[in-house]
Amino acid sequence: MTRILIIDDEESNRFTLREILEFVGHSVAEAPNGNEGLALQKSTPCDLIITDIIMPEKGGIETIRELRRNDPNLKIIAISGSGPTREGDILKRAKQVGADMVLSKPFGEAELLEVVNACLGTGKSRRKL
Amino acid sequence: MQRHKANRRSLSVVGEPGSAVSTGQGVLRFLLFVLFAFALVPVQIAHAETATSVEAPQEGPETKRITAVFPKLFPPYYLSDKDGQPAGFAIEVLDAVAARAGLEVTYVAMESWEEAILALRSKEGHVIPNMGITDDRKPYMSFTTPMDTFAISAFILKDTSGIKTTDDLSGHVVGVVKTNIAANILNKHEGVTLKVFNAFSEGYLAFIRGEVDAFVYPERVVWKTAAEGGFQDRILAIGPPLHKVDRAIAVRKDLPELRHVLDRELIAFVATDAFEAIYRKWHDAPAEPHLLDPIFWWIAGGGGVLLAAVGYVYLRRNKKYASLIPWREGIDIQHGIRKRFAWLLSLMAMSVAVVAGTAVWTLYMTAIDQERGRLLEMAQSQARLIESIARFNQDYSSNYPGGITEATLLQIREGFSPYSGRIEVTVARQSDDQIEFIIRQKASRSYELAQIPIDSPLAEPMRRALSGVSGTVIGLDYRNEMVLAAHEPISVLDLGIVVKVDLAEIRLPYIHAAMIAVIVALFVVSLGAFVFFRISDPILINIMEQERHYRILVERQDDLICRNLPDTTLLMVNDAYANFVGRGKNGLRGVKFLEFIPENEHQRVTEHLASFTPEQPTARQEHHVIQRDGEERWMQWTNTATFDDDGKVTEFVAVGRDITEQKKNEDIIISFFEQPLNLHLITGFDGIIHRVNEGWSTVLGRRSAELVGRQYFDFIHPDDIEISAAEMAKLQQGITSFYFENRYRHQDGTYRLIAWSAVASVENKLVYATGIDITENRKAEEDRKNLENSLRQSQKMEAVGQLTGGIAHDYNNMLGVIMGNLDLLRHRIGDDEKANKYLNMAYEGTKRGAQVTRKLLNFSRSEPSDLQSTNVNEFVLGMKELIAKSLTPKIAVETHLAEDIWSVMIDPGDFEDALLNLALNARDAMPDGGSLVIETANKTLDEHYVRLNPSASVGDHVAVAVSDTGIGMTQEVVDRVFQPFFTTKEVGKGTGLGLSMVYGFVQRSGGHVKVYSEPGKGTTVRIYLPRAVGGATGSEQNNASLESDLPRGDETILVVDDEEDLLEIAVLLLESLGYKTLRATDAMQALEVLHENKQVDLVFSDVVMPGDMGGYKLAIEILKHHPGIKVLLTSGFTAMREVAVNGDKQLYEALSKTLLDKPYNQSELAFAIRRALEREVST
Repeated sequence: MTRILIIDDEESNRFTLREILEFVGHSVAEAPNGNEGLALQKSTPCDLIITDIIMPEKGGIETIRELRRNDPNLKIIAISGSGPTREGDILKRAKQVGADMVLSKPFGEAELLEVVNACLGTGKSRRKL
Repeated sequence: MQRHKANRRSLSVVGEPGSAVSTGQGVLRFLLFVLFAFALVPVQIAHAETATSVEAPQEGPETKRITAVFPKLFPPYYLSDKDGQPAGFAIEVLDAVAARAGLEVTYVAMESWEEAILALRSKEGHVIPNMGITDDRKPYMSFTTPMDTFAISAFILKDTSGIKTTDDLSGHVVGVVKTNIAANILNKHEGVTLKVFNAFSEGYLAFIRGEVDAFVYPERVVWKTAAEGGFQDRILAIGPPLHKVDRAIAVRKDLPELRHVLDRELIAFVATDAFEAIYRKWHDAPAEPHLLDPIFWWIAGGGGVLLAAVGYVYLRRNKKYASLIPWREGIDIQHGIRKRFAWLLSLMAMSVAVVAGTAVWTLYMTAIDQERGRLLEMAQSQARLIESIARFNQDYSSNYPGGITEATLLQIREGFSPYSGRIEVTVARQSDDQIEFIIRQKASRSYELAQIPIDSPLAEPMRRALSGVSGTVIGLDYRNEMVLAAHEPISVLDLGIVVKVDLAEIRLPYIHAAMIAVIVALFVVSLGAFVFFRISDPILINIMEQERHYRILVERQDDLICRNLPDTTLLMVNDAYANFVGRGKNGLRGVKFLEFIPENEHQRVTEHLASFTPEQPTARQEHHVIQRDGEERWMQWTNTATFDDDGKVTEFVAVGRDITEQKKNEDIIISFFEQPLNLHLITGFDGIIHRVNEGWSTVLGRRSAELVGRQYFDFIHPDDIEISAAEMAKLQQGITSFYFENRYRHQDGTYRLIAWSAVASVENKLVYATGIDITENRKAEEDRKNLENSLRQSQKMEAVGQLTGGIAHDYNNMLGVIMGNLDLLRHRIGDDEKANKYLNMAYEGTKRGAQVTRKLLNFSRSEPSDLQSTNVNEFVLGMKELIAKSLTPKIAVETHLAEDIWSVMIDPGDFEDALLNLALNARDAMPDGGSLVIETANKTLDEHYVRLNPSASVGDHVAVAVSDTGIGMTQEVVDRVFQPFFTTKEVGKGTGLGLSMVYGFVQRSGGHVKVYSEPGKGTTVRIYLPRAVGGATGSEQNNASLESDLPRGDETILVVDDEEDLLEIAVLLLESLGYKTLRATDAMQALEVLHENKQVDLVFSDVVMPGDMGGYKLAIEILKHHPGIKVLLTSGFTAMREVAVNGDKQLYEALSKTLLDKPYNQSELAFAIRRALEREVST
């Protein structure tokens, strides 16, 4: 059973993701922002982190950067509803700072699980590398 | 006079003072003397001398009182003066004689002669002063030597008929006076009925009343009385005197001593001039002058005094004439006029006096001649008569005791009885060295046988007679009087006879006549002068006032005034002139004024003076005059010439004004007016240009000569005429126009935008306007606005991008929740078919929502996700089929792809999306079908393009143009067409994000998108994508990147474009290539320019222009009317689109094929123009 930490300021998002991931057997923890997510990961480390990018207090980019600094092998998936904007493609940016995979909102169950599975698989292969 | 009065008082019986009247008369005469002194002086002197001689003191023996009795009325012997005092010839002679004898006389007047004689006989009186010597009186009175003689004549009234001579008195009643000898004489006439009156007055009255047929009485008394009563014209003396009586002082017979004394003194007195004067006073003076004299004096004197008084009062009352009164102060001119007036009067009076004098003198000389003849005749006849008597006596009276001479004298003496008439006959002989007068006819001297020495200067006529000379002479007679005398020798008796008249007596009537003439003349002249004065005085005063005003005007003027000859010699200057040149007024007379003018202006001044004609006698000139301190001042002279009969200038009157300051101001104003940056305009209310400044040449390329006299509306842009006319209407009402704009046509055909402010002079119907060329300012302003607009647009798009990005983020979050939960729900539903269907539909909806947000995010994305070096042609070709399928079959799709197209760095996927979006938009714009043309081309954007399109950048680009022939868009729509969600499509038919996506793609690619659309015609969207760095090149344009390598020419090109910015750029580019350019902003104007200017080689025209005539129609017109002129069209639509549109029109198609796409750069233009110029005129 894989422990997955969901960091998203939107409770409905967290709830939806938890429901889907728990439905397929994952253990899910939640944090409403980057700081709490980092603290939780420190106290009870998870295998996969799914984090939103645009959040209050500590955004996704910073959180990813810190998580990756703390644990280079940690699996991280970045999700965002913004995609490419005039300020730049934030998901691309998330990848650059350490996210293993990205997923544009909105996405369905299938897309999510596909990415999660792929990530966990990749994570394994990475670790192998 | 005083002595005479005293004497008279002591002699007066009545004792009443009698001097008042004579004193009064004296005063009157004195007044007249004052008035007419110069005329009367000689006369008055004569009177004075007479009076003095009368009053000369007489020495005499001891005083003894005698009483004289006399009839109270027997003029001129006895009469009473106005005071009742005794007067008359007899009284005055007795006064004088008594005074000489030392006697004091008391006069007692009696009613008649009879009473007087009785008084003497009764010894009441001692003497009767004057009485006729008759034999019947001699027994009781003795007589002195006679002092005069008078005739007793018969008088009738003039209307009495039947009595012609004294012989006719028989059978008539004749009046006589008792005691008068007439009664005795008439007693001898038979048949005469005598009517005797006691006194003369009674008899005279009866005669005048016609109570008697005739009246006989001493002639002199009757005439005198008649004259005083005004009857002298009504009575007539008939025949010779009936009798002549000598008269003497009658003395009582018992007083022989007294008679002796009186006789002695009488003889002595008679020889004096005093007696003569008394005699003349009472006897000799002609009646008429005596009568007229006082009347005339009164009239002339009174009239003169009255006239003088009236004149004086009149002058005093009328203040304006006051200055004419000599003793009032007046200015010199008035004094001058007064003096001249006095001179005029004097001259008139003198003239009249001379004329009158000449007339009188001529008459007098004539009278002298007549008198001379008469006297000679008389002297000769008398001499012959005496000689005949003498010869008779020689024969028959030779025994007369005294000899023949005495006998003859005895016989003739009676004939020469004493006589008081004017003519005196004297007969004399020479005795030793004395001339002895034998007969002297004047009665008063009949007793005196005067002897005059032969060598004495006296008795000249007689000396000649005694010398045997016959003739006439004017000389002194024996009395030392100047006489006119005829002298004739009486040869038989050795005597001489002289018949003579006193010259004074001849002169007297003429002197009187002259006096009358002079007085009348003076009166008439005075009256005439007064009337003349009354009439002419207002005129004179007016003239005088005018002269005074003229002098003030001239002398007190600040202006310089002078009169001068044509050769500039000064005749007169005013004070201002003299002060100006610093010379004395008099010193300037005769000086040539050229002396005060700088030498270099002499010729101009003299030429000006020579230019005057009688038709144009006044003109102005400005020149310098050197002031007294040497400073040269500008003077403006107004010269007025006067001409002689031949039209030659005689002199000038010039008025000069110092205009130096005005000149300075004028210079300033002129230089201000003429400054070349601003436009200055003076125009009439009718729009006719009166004056323009140099600015018109610099700003509008138009010279003053070309503009003045033309309508200024002719140069205004047709669209601006209305606003300009409205401004003119306001100006015509005097309302200042502070600011308005209109466009003026430059000489080169373009319009310049002018900002005006103008004021009007309603009085002169003129408008003064100042304009500034604000074309560049406006352009700069518009550029700035464009820039701002672009900036605003890009900022707006930026903001919209942020907004859409934010919205998309939120939407995606929400959609994500929905999608996730829908998936979770799917697990719960299981196999419920319907529920699954609903769920799927909801899921699809969220997916579509996700697509929208993706498009939004594409628009707001700033960086391409996948840049690749791309050949757009490949993608266009690849997409052509897809596009054609996406469109309706009615739409034909064409692609025109440039060879050797440059590569561009783009996200090919984005490009495909963009191309598809543009195609779909074109489809929607062509519901009824049409053409869709996709073109690609290499394009180099230059700074001119960038200036107009700030979002573009200079450099090589690949242009991809998508054109349709659809409904087109308005500019407002074009401006908003890239905004997200902006759509003109019906609700539900479009998201409004298609073109936003295109815009996002172009922005991300560093390119530039330009939409050109004409409502009803179609749209062309051009995408300019920057050429990839290091890409291959090969087009002609790029080979000719250096300006010096571009094809050039010197032909004349008419550029036609309604967009002035583009027109301006085209002109600049062409001129830099050496071409000459003309401009027009629409097709009609282009045709006008061509009509005016035949030198045009090529017309470079926009296709779409306002008005009915576009580029194609213009080209056709040019081909029709100017077949030699080539045409090159340019358009915002692409050439291929134009070809597609005009494919069915051969000519249009040909034109379309050569059309130069906008935007074009310099090299494109250079090649296109050159190609067009070198093309055969086959189009």
